[in-house]
Amino acid sequence: MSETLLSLQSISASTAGREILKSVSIEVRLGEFFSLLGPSGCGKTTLLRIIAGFLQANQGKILWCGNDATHLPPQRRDLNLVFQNYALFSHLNVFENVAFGLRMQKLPEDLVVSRVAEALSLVRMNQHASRPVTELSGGQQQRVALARAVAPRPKLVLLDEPLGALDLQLRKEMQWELKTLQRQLGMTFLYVTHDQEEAFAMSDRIAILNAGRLEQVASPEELYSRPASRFVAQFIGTANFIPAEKTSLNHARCLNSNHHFLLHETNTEELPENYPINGDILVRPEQIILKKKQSEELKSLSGVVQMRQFLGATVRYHVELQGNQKRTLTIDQSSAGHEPIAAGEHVSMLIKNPSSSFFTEMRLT
Amino acid sequence: MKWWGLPAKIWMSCFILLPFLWLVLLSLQPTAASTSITTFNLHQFSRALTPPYSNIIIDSVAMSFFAALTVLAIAVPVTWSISRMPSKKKHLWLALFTIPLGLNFVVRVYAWFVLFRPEGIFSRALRGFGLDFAFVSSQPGVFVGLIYGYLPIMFLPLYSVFEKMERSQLEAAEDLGANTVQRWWHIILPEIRSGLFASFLFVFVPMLGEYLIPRMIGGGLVATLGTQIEGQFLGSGRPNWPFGAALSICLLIAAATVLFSSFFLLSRKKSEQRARWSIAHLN
Repeated sequence: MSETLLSLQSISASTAGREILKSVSIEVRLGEFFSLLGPSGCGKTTLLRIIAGFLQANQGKILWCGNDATHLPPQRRDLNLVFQNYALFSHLNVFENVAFGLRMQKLPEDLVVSRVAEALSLVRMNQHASRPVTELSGGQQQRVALARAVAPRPKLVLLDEPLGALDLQLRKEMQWELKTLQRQLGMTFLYVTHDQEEAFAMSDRIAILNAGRLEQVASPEELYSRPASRFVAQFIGTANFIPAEKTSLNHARCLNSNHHFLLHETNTEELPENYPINGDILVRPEQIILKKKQSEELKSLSGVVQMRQFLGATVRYHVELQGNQKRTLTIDQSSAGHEPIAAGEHVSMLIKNPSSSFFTEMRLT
Repeated sequence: MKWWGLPAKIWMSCFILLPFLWLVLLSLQPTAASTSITTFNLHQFSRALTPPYSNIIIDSVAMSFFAALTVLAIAVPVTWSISRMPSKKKHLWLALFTIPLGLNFVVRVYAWFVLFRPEGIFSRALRGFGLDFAFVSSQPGVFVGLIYGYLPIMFLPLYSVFEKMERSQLEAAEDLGANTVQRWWHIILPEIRSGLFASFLFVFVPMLGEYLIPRMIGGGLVATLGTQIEGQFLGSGRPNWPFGAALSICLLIAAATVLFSSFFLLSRKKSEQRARWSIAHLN
C-alpha cells in the first residue's frame, strides 16, 4: 500500500442548522486517481471546498502528509483546484493564466516560461498561448484551467465536476485525456462528480457519498460487485433486488426458487439464532440468463416479459417476477446469437455466478 | 437607409445637435447685447481662456477630478464589503446606502451648511478642540460637499461592477497562492478596471458642472465653472449669454478630454504586451 497523502478524519460540516457532512473519514493515497461520487446535494462539493481551504469543517481534522492542515489558508495548501466553471482570469491571456500560480511563487521568468510551455503542451494548447481566454471554446478553456492547476506542480489536483459543461462526445475524450495526464504527471487527482460512468472510467478508488454520509470507499470493480449498502447498489449501475432469505452467515436462498447464493463477507452483528432473515439479494442485469419457459420447471425463477429494448451490444428486458412480491427485473442479454423473446412471453431465469450481496428489509433513513 | 435608426436620429438632431449648434452660435457673438448673425468672432473664448477665468476652469477640473477620485476611493471598499455580504443583508445595506438619493439634493446640501456654518454644532465642537476651521465659504468645504453629495450616486454603478465579477476567480487566485494584496492588484482591479472608469466618469462629469454645492456651501465666495456659467445666464448682475455659452463649451471640452483620455488608457492592454514578450521566448 502506498503512502497516504491526505487524510480526512471525521469531518462534519453544517450551515444554517442543516448538517451537510456527517463524520466523513477518507484517506487519499499518493499518486492515485480518487473520486468523490454522489448525487447532487450529497455534500461532495462542500467536502472539496473544505479540502481546498475555502470552508472550515465544524468538526474533524485534515492531515496533509501526516501534518495537521485543518486551518491552513487556501494559498498555503500544496494543492490546486480546477473549478466547475473554470474560473479563468478573463483579463489575462492563456499564457498569463497558466503562469499565475508560478508568478505567485516568484519563480524566475525563464523557469515560468518553460513550466508554462510544458503545462500547455501537456494539454495541447501551446498553439493558443497568446489568445485571450474569452475567445476559447469550452473544451479549450477546460484545458487551460487544467494546465493552470498543474503548472505549479502541486501534490494534489482537485477537480470539481470539470467536465459538466461539455457535450457528451467531448466529455468522453476529456475523460481519457485526464486519466492519461494524471498517469504522465504521477500527480494525485481528487475528482468530484455525480456521474457514475465518469468516475468509473477514470478512478482507481471511489468514495460514495449520500446525504452527507460516507457509504463506501472502494475500487470501481468492488463497488459494483460488492456494494456495502442498498444505496450504493442502486447508485452504481442497475440493480435488481430479488426477495430472498439469509440462511447463514454467507448463504442466502431465493424465496421463489431453489437458487442459492454465496454471500460476500459482511461484518454484521447477526446472531446465528436470528436466521433465516428476510431481505433481498442483489442481482446485476448481466448476471441473469433468460430462457423461454418450456414446461413447468419447478424451483426456478419465472416471470413475464414486459418490454424488450435493443441497445446494440445488449438486449435489455424488463421482466415481471412472479411470486408473492411484484418486482420488475432489468435483464441484459448479449445481442450476439440472441434469439429475441417477445413481450408477454413467460420466461425462466438462471443466475450466473450466484455470489452476491444481501440486504435486509429497507432501512428507513 | 434602414428606417429603424430614424427615432434615434430625430432625437439626436432635435435635442442634441440643434441646441448645441445654437450654443456654438451664441458663444461666437462678440458682445452680450449683440444679436448679429453675420459677425462672429472668438472674443468670448479668448476671455474664457485668460485669467481669472482660465484659473477657474483649471481649479474646477482639478477639484472635480480629485473629488471624484476620493468618492471612488471611499466607495470601492464600502461597496466591496456590501457585495460580499449574504444576499439578504446585501440588499438591505445597499438600500440604506442609497436612501439619501431619495432626499432632495438641496435639502442634503443645506444640511451640511447648517452643521458647518460658523455657529453650527460641528464648527462649535471643532472650536472646542481648538480647531478654528472655516468650512463654509472655503474651497475645502466645497470639496467635502461634492464628495458627500455624489457618494450615494457612485454606489449603484460600482455595486453592479462588483456583482458581475465572478467570485470563483478570486478563489482561483487564492488557491494559486495569491494573498489579499496580490488578489486586489492582479485580479480584482484589472477585472473591474473599465467599471471603475465608468463609475468615475459617472460622478466626475456632473461634478464639473455642479453649481448648487459651490453656491450653498461656498456661499458665493468659491468660484467654479458651474457657478460662473450660472452667473452668466441667471446672475443678478449683468447676464452675458454669449460668454456663458463659451464657458459651457469649455466645460464640455474638459469633460470630453477626460472621457477620451480614459478610453485611450483603457484600450492599452498592458498585460498582453508583457505576455507577448514571454511568448517570444517560448518559440
